Amino acid sequence: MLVNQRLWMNFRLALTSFFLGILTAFMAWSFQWVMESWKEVTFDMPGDVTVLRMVKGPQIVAAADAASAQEELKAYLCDRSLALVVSSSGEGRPEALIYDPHGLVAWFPRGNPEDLRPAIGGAYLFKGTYSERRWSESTTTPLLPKGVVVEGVITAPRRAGDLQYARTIGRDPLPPGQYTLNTTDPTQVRHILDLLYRMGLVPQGIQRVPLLVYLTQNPLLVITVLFLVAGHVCAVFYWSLYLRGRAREFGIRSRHGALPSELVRDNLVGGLPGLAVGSVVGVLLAGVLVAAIGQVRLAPGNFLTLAGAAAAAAAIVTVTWLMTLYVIIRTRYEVNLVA
Amino acid sequence: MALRRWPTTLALAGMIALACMVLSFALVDVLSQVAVLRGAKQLRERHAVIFTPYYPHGERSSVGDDTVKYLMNLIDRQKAYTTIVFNMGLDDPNFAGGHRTLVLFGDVIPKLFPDLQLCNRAPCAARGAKIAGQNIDSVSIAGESIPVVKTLPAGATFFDVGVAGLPLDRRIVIRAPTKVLPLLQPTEREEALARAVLLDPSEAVVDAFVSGCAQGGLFLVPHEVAIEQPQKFRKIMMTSAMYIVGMLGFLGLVFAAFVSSARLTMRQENRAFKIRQMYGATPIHISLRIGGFLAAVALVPQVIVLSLLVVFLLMTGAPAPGAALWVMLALILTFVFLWFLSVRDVRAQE
Repeated sequence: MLVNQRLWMNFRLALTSFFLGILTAFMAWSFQWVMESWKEVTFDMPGDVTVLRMVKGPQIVAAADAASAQEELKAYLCDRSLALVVSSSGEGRPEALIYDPHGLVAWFPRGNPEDLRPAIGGAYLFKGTYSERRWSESTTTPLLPKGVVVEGVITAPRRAGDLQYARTIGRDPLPPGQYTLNTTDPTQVRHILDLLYRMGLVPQGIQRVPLLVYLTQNPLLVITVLFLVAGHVCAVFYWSLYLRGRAREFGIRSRHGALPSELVRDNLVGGLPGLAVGSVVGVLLAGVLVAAIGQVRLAPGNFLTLAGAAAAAAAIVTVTWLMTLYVIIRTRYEVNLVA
Repeated sequence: MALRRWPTTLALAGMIALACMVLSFALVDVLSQVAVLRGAKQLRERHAVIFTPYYPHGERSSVGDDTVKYLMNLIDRQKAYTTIVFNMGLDDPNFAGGHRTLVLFGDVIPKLFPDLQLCNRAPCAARGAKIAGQNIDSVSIAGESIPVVKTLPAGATFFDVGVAGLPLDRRIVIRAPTKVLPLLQPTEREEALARAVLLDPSEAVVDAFVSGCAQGGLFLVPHEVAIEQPQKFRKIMMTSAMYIVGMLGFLGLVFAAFVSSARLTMRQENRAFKIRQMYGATPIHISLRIGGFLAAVALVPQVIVLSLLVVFLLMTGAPAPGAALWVMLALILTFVFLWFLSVRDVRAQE
């Protein structure tokens, strides 16, 4: 291959992989965000979760029945090694109620086993919230229920949002709200729903959230993947037009004994610098631009994501280039022998 | 030319249109957020505290009159203001002639939002530009008759931090006296409490207000606008920036593919161009023909889609419908550039 021609090819490859690099960075970033928001959904609990949106039901429930059902629920959760997080979604107190006898909720202090059956659980304030600030400055906590003692301050889980504190589920009746369970087993969920029904609550929405489903339901990730795929389609289109323009050259080479595999290898290796430089520059530029427009300083974690994105971009682009080369040279090889 | 190559044409046109749509939406988001940030500059400078409400389960809160009086006192001393956006007159379909309203409490509001051009002395009301023709002389709140005295300029928008950019063209904006606050319906009163904005309050004032509301079952989580708004703004900007940069990257790729495909087309059509020239086609004819082809792929479908988007944005009252127009302008410039390049290319081959 002529030096000039090789330079041109590398320039074309660098240009396309530069744009593809931007799109890959875009996707890597959205993937990272989705993984973070997955932790929000699960309240950092391990495994897949079910989110039940519970509201007050029409059934009339005696207080004693509700209390015994609540104790049954706790026993069931303890028995099946499950954890339950009840969080407010704009209603009730801005709090998270937790029942976690086996210490699955990493951010919540486990406490002594005998503490799991208190009448009213003590509250752990989330760091950085209004309640935490007021408590540490003047021990006033206007948003806590009366009689609840502050046990300490913990780092808030990602989903916390405006929630102010977390406390263990005690004997006071459970409020409506979002019930997050670390199981997707239908029989377990059914049993828990039965117990909740006896406590006067009915589900308004049941959401089983396995990670894979969650990923495919996230619009940001779907859009970025879609655009990355469409971008690769464009790149293949662009490259195949370029390679078809070189059909005559391939024909001459093959007459002089070059095998298709040799042609593919030659062009693949020759194009690697362009592909690599293009992808890395694209990813870096995307990172810098996003940081500049968003006026944020990039954290080391972001650089790790960017590095990963650059590697991924270069790898995917190389595979696409290889496939395009293979298909075009294979299909054009025979034709060019006669041409 | 474009019709004969419809699969490629359609695919490219579709991709460009889609990317332009996403780009417009991202720009709308950025522009409206910038407007909110700018609108809240005064609020940040005055260390405003706003609240996120947590309502009681399935019932209305019952916040005591003393807390409402506390807020009234703050508003009268120009240390606070509050608004009712959604819940005013829900029980009364004839309230304000059936129009949507925005009720403002506080003489400090005109100072905080000087661009709003409200009526001068409370109690008074102003109608939005698009309902100017309707004959509404006065609005009655809790027995108090408030005269409608003027019409707002078209496109007026209220930038409260809570409701990012509220278009006022179809609303009646009422500056109500604080004395009606305790007389409001429970839902109206609840919203007025939840939307309270305290200006440079001491911790004790916030505590007193939050505790008072909490006793009535309305839990308000306070936020300092000066601290939290820029953080939120940066996060939204970053997402939008990602979309914008990503879409520009994608468009770059699509246009690269399009340019090389267009070149190929021109080369294939070279003979046709020659024949046309022989039969008297002038360079203007040829360039018009090329322009028609380019427009069919990279201009007309997108402009149609973007125009529909502008209409949609205007109808839904989105804060910055101009963003789609900017994308359209960029598209037209790209088109002119491509046209110029292609014509030069074809002429060079003659």
